[in-house]
Amino acid sequence: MKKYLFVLMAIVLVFCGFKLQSTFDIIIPNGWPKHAYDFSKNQLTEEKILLGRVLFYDPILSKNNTISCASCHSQYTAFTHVDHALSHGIEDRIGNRNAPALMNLAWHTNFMWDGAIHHLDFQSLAPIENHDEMDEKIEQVILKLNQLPRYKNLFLNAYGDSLITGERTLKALSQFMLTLVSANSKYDKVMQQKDTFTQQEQNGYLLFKQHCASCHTEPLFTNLQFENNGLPVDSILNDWGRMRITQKANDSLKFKVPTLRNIEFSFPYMHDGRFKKLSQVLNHYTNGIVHYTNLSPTLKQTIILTSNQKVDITAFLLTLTDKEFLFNKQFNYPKEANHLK
Amino acid sequence: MKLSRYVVLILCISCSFVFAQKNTLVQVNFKGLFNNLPLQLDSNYILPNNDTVSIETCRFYVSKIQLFNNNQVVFTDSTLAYLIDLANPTSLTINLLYPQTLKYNAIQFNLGIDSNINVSEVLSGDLDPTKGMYWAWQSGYINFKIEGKSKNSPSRYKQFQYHLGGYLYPNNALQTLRFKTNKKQKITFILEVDKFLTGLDISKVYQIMSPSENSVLLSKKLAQLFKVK
Repeated sequence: MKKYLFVLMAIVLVFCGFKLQSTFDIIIPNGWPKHAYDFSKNQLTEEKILLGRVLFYDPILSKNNTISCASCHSQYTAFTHVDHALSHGIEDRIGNRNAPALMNLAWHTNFMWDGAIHHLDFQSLAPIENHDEMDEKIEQVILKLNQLPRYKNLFLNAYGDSLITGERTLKALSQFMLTLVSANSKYDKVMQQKDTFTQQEQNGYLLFKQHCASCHTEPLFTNLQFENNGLPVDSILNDWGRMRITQKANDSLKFKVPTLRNIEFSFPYMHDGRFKKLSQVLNHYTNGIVHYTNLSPTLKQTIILTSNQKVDITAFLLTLTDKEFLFNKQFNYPKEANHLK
Repeated sequence: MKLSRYVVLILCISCSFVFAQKNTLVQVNFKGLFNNLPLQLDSNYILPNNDTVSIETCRFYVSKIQLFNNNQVVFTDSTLAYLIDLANPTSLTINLLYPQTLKYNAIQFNLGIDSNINVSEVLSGDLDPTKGMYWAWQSGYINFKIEGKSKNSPSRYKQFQYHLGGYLYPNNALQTLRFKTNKKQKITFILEVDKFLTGLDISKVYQIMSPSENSVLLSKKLAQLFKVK
């Protein structure tokens, strides 16, 4: 009987342990599709989100402790790297792709411009171990974290014991990234009938729906697919996109369709950051398309836009700016963990 | 109050049921051989083509262990995967606990990680990505990793590195191996590492580090080199 009592007590204690965590649910905006991330496998808690956030801002993830995730994914520019066409690693190394903006990741099934990563939990491994980014080994990251009492405390708070593993580290990073939901732009408020478009924005919205929305599908402003958008090949980078992963000729020069949310701040644009301005992007779609055999079907017919119409589309795109997201204090440098030394 | 008593009672009954079922143990061992002798890591060996080689690393995943009786699955091990590392003696033995009354005449396992595990969330234990058996740049587990040196390798430091894996068609490298055995206490699998390198032209193929046709071909070759003792 004593044995069973022990088992019962253990069960009760385990349940209590779970209750001490403050569970957290991301806000799922009305009318949005079902998210892809399985939260039942990584239940969000405030403690784990904080741990993930501390890790996101800590250069300890890089080999020489100089750059953090936030170095190339800055909140004020929609978690991308302002003015950097290509990602910028340790020792001023330069990668071969533009750092993507991070938001609404719970709805994404593939990550990276070529979809090389198939689950958010594994995404952080790629920049940590990439030679031109953080150039570190995840094993080494765990060793470094283990030497810091600050992380012992953060893991203790998050997981109930101070064991630091790769699984826990990656899941905590996922937790923070999952909270980065942007759904409070002017566009969203108009859709909720709390605001109205100007005439120009409305014109732009109609043109957008006609010419752009098949790939940049509402409400995420991406169809989450890989498309060839007719960009000439950069002969220095020679980046063939999705084909490297699938080894299928039909995936040549296909890249993941990026979201347009917060596009005002996420320049430079395209997978290699070749365009600094939205006007250049629009000019590409009207005048610059290279007609590859696997060109995205909607681009096969030439898009004709007057300069006024381009201005209207731009006005609409600026309604996708979400200031509440860009300046949300829950997403910036975690000062609240500073007392943990 | 009454309800909680029932809960306790049910818990007790289910616990006693679990404890009452008698289990027995079969030890599954893995051994690396080179020229019919136990493989010594970092020792020099001569291959039939006069190449001098040494093995620095040999590690692989064994997953979904099942016992069969007359081609029927009678037992499936609950552990998702075991990382077998020839440099780590404790990893070479798997203790399988199965019901005592069970009869079997064959054992099966996957050499590598299947697509179900590959597409799931990040996992712990032997499947933790810190074990060095996960591709960081392209999601997926490495099923089998063998690294060493060869006089014939054109690479820097005369290295060869074969990281075999891939779970997507057409480069699915997973191999399922089944062996007849009626051993009840100890089943030993040997891997003839010398035969893996024999017939490989290391001067040309000295590095495989992504899912590919070669990765599949070499995985199939490997599957032939496991023997049961």
